[in-house]
Amino acid sequence: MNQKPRLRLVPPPAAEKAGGRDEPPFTEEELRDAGALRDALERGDDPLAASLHAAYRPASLAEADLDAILARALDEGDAPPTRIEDEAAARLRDAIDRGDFEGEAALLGDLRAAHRPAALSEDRHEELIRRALSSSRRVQVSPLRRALPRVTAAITGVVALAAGFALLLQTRGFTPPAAESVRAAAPAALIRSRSTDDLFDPAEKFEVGRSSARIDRIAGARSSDLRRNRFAAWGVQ
Amino acid sequence: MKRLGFVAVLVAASLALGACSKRDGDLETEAPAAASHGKTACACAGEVVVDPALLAFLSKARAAHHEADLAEDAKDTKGALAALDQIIKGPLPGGAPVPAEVAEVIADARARRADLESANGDVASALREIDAGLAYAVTPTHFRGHLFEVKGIVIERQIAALKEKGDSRGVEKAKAEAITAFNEAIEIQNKVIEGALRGADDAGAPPPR
Repeated sequence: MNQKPRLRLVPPPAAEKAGGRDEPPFTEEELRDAGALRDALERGDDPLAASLHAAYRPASLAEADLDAILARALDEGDAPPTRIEDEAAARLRDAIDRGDFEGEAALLGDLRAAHRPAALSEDRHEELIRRALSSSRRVQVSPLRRALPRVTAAITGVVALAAGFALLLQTRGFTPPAAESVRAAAPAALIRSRSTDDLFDPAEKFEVGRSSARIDRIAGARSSDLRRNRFAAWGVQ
Repeated sequence: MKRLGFVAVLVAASLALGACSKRDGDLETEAPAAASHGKTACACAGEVVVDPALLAFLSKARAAHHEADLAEDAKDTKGALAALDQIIKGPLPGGAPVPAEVAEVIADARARRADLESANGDVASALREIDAGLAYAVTPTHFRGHLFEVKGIVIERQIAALKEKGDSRGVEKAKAEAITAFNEAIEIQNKVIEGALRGADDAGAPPPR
């Protein structure tokens, strides 16, 4: 006999943990946020709620605001402020009077600080110095690290001195006397520029179409001459 | 600060030592420097020695001739002429008069250009090249003889063109010029051979049979 499956509703695991309720209890922070939102709604200064309310049930525009908006649209010079602008101006004035440069007045505070920076108070000054000194004391430098720059400088200097001295000895002290005499005699041995005719067999005439072979021979011979000249100038036989 | 001073003193001392040694080294480089200018680092005062500038010119000429070979292989006569033009129109080493090698290489390049110009049908340009080459090859050398030989070949090509035109008087005149050029070439080559034989006698070589 075929029986139908029997279904039943079961609560989700989270609800079981919360003692059978749908949601866990509210935290302190959530309750605090909810209270703040409620107050803001009552005051009517929550921007999202105000926008929703205006969209749902728009209020009629005050006569003065309408005049001000029309004056701006028609580009009249001295258009009066709207109610919202008046309120914002009042808030800013109050903030300046209180010396509270936060929120809307933050830019004004920055401008004032840039134009006329306030003097650092004595306590704040002392606090900054104390903090800087304590942080510098915390940095511990090992003796090895302290000595490292001196050792590096000394080694560099000694190597530089040794290199200079070696160069001096190489060119002055260790020149063999024989090389000196060869050097004096060398200039007379330089090969002069001359006709290349002797590179070619006098019994054979130049063939037309063999120019490249001729220049090959000339360049090769003079290359060899130049090498000899260089050796002679350096005093090498 | 003290450390910095110490390092500065050490570096200054080593630089000073290096400068001393460089000064001595300059004496060694004087001769090559003079040789590189082709001037008088030797007893041959006032004469030009084989130097890097001369070799650079010869290398350039070599490259240009081989470039001309490739152009000729491709039947590109204009390209070959342009390649050879680089030898003639570029800077020349050694001042005036130019070294013998330079003069001879230019003469040979002119001879090749004359051959190419005449093969291309421009006999007048070919003869101008010959004259310009002869200005460089003034002594009896292979190069001067070669220029006269090419001159004869150029005129032979001119004769063929005149024959096609039926210009019999022009042909006769050109033939005489060609024979003169070939005779000049033979005479110069004889002088070259005689000079070589004299040189061999002076060097103590056995006399020719």
